[in-house]
Amino acid sequence: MTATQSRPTATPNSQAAPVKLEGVTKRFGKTTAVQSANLEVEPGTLVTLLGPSGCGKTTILRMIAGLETITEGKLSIDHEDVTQLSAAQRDVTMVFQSYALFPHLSVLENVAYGLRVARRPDAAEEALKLVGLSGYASRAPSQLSGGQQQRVALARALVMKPKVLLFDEPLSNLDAKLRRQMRNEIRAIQQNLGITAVYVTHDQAEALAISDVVVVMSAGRIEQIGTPEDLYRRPANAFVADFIGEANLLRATYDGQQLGFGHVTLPYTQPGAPTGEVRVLVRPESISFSDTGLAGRITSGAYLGAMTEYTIDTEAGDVLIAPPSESTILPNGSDVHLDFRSNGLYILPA
Amino acid sequence: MQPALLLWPLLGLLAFCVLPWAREGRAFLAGGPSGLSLLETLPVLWVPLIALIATLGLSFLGRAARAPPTLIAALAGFLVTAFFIVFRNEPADLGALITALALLSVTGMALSDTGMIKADRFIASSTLWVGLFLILFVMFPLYKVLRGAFGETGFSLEAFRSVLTSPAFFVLENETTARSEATLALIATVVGGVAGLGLSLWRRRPVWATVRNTVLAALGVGIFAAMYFGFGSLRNSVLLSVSVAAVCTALALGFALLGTRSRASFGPYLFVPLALAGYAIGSLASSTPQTAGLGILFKAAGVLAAVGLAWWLTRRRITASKLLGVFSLLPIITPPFVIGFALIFLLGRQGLITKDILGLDTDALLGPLGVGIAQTLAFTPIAYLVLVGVVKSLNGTLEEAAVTLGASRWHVLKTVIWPLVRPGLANAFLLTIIESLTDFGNPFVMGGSFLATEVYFAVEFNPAEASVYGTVLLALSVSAILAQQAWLGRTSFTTITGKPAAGMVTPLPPVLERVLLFVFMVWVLFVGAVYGSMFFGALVKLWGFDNTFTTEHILNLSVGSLGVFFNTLKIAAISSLPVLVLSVVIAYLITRQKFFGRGFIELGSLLSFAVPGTVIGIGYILALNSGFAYMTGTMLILIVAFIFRNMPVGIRSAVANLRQIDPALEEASTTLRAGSLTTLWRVVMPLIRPALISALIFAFVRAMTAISQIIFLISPDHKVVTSEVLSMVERGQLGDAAALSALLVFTLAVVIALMTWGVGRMGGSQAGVSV
Repeated sequence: MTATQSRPTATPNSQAAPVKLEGVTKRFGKTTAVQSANLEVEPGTLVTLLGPSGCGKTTILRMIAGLETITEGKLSIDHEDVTQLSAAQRDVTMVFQSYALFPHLSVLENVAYGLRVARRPDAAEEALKLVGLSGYASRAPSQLSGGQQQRVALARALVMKPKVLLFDEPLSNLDAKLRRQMRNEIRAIQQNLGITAVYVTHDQAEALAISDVVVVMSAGRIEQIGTPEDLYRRPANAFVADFIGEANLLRATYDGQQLGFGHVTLPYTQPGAPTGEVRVLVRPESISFSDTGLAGRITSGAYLGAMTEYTIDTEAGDVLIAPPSESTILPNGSDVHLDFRSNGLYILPA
Repeated sequence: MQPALLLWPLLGLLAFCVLPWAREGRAFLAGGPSGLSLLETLPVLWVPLIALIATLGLSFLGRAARAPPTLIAALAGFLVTAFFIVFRNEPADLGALITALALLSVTGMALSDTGMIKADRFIASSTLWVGLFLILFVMFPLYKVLRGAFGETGFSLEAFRSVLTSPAFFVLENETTARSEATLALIATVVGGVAGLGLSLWRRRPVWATVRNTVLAALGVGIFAAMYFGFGSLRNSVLLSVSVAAVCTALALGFALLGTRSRASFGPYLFVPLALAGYAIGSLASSTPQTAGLGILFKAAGVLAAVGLAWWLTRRRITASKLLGVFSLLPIITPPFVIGFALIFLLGRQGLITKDILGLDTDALLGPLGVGIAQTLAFTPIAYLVLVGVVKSLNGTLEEAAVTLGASRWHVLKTVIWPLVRPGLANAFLLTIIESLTDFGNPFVMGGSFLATEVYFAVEFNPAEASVYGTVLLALSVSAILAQQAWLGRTSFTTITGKPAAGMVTPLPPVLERVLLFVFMVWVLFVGAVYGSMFFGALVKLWGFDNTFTTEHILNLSVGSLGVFFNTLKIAAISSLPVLVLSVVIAYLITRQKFFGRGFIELGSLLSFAVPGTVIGIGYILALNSGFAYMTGTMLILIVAFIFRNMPVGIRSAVANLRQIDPALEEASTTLRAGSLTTLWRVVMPLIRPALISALIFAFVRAMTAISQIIFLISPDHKVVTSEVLSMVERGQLGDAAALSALLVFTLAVVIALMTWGVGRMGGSQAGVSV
């Protein structure tokens, strides 16, 4: 079961092209920004590069665009080796974090910029209609709101009918509500057009919500490639587990049937999992207070409205849980017991 | 098939077959033989011809098949043409040059097409072009200067030895004086060393720092003392430039603080200068025979009107910052030596101050002192322009933080503002030192032996000596720049960002503000007197002897000066457009592109920053006076000299503006499949348009006011205004010189006003001239 099956997938259109990175490395002087990255992007899918700042995700995006040269390795778009081609020669467009709208041109001129360069018939109006801005053609970019500017940038990239559409943290300058709305719109447009897209973000919630496939990166290396659910439920290592969502990584023992947290044991099986001393991922929503189970003491509590967040000191390590708020908040130092849902546990690979 | 690939070979063929390749004399396009007609006697020219035809034919092939043979053909064609031009050693005409450039362009495009370099065609070709120009017009002339100094045939230090030991250059021990200068300098060295040692010990510095400080202090004080007690042009130039730079920088800092932080009305300070001006105008108006009896009436009316104006300005609460704007423009539109020559009216034997106010009969106030005063008046505004930018960019929140921590205004000034403006001070100091070192006009007008004037006198009789002086000037200006870099390299001023500074700036301490306002008043008085005397000098028969009103000097202008004036306008206009194009392209190459040869272009443009105008002048006369590039005596050499002299300022301004543009805009253009030429033309140029127009005005104005780099290059057929004014001063026609200078200053003021207004109308955010 993968995430793609749970979403409506568009049939790839004629423009949609696969992207393939083989051993791609980028060095700036002595520092290595990206270390031999291998990645295949299926036609018509949206793949997100996710990671903390400085992990190399934007560098990969810019190498696909042709804005950075590739130090080693091979990049192909639509089965054609484009490693040596410049940005202007590649059939790729990009939506920039700062939108990069030309301030001296009107909205329509911005969208038509690429068309005029390529001398193709005018389709700029149509692209503006697609992003719902047909009435704004003659305005200056500075007269638009942040969300509208973002749409113009999107229209400008779409109008070129690129083989691959790139997004460099496109929503990071918008407020939270607008970000959610734009995220859904970008996803809808990408799926309707069936276009291949590569999307960079450092916001894990955004990545989970928008992607067919997420690539988690850290320090220039790809840590894991998988569907959003894969990453959340079955992270490849502690870094991915910790980076995606809230994670409790607890010390435990595992013998193939039983999982032991300190004095408490639970029946649990996970094919292929290591045995002996292991690290177990437990998401906060899989833990609840109970009368029996793992004993611990509350060290801090924070009221967040819908829920209350507690940190609890236990034998297996510090545990973060977030049950729905009740009328009284448990004081620090309270002794509690914790119960784990077995389908919310995952033993990390050794 | 690409139009550019067709166009360049076609242009090359046209130049090869139609345009002349060789010149008889200095004139261009005077009907010399074309490349085609030279083929018979010089079969080597088949190579460029075949190369042009081959590249033309190849342009119809696909990229992969076309690129390597095109590259080989074009490169071979270019190299043969270039070697032919250089080693034939006869004046080359435009046909040969255009053929070479066309082949160079094709080479660049082919180089890009092969994928050997990561640059598109435009970048590759323009890099080659810029590189060629820098070699021809910056490095080659500099090489000739050095070659001249170190011996034309084989390496020799003879010229150096003879200049450096000449008493005109520098002498420490003067036999004719009673005291021993060498002993005094030695004593000063020891005193300096002891002071450095003492200070280091008192501050308990580590051993190595103590040793270093002691040596540095001994050397510094020793050199200064040797300069102070010694004689010669080196001594004069160094002392002059250091003292002028110190005074200019101090004044400029004061004015910059006034301009940004003074809220007090400047009106009350204006009564005295304006009243004097009114009195002067009144006395001029009453000097004609018809109005002779009305002297008292006219003078009274003048003073009254002036006082009225001052009162009105006081009511309007005019601040010093308003006047400082005008004041910062004046030196840009005035050739520096015009100030020097106007000072003759004030400080000469018949000068207003010397004779009428002090009652002296002397011209001792001219000479080195006069040069210093003139340079201070001329260069303080340049330092001001640097410092006002720095002071404006100070982040007000830092001062607010200091005030909330209990700092007084003086304390804020000392502990926050001063450390932050120090790099700016170094910059302003350096700029004025170089301006002063290389200023030719003022010492020439006022007399005194300085390096820049020694060059001028040497160039006619002994080019080797002139080269040595040029090398010394170059060494001084380069070491000043290196010293500044070394000092600034250790200082970081990350608080000065491009972001608009928030927070209120602290007002100046009231005492300091009043002192600065008073200094500024004296300044306004002096500058007013200088410009006033220039205009009055143009309107009276003979300043000091016969102060009656006359239009004679103005009418004299049409006798020849007017022709020179329009000729200068033409040269300045022609040269300013290439400055613009070169500056933008070079700035774009060095800020935005990564490619082979970028280091070379950066070095070349950096070098053109450091080279004093005088040195460029000698270089051109040495390099372009014979051989294939024989250009002396033509208008072209003046134009080329202006282009490469004014280019550094253009580059600096374009680079500063490019740094403020988000590179994502250009990347967006690139991902939308625009090449770098399109990006430059449709995205970059429109965005930096105000800066471009400023650079254009500046290049034009500087070409109109330049003197040091072209004094060697003018010819009877191609004179310029500045050299004309100089020779009028030399011949003693002060009135005519004043009239011509006034015309120049007035015209440039109108040009700047019109252009500024035009930029403002176009919606440019940045009016006026930025340096």
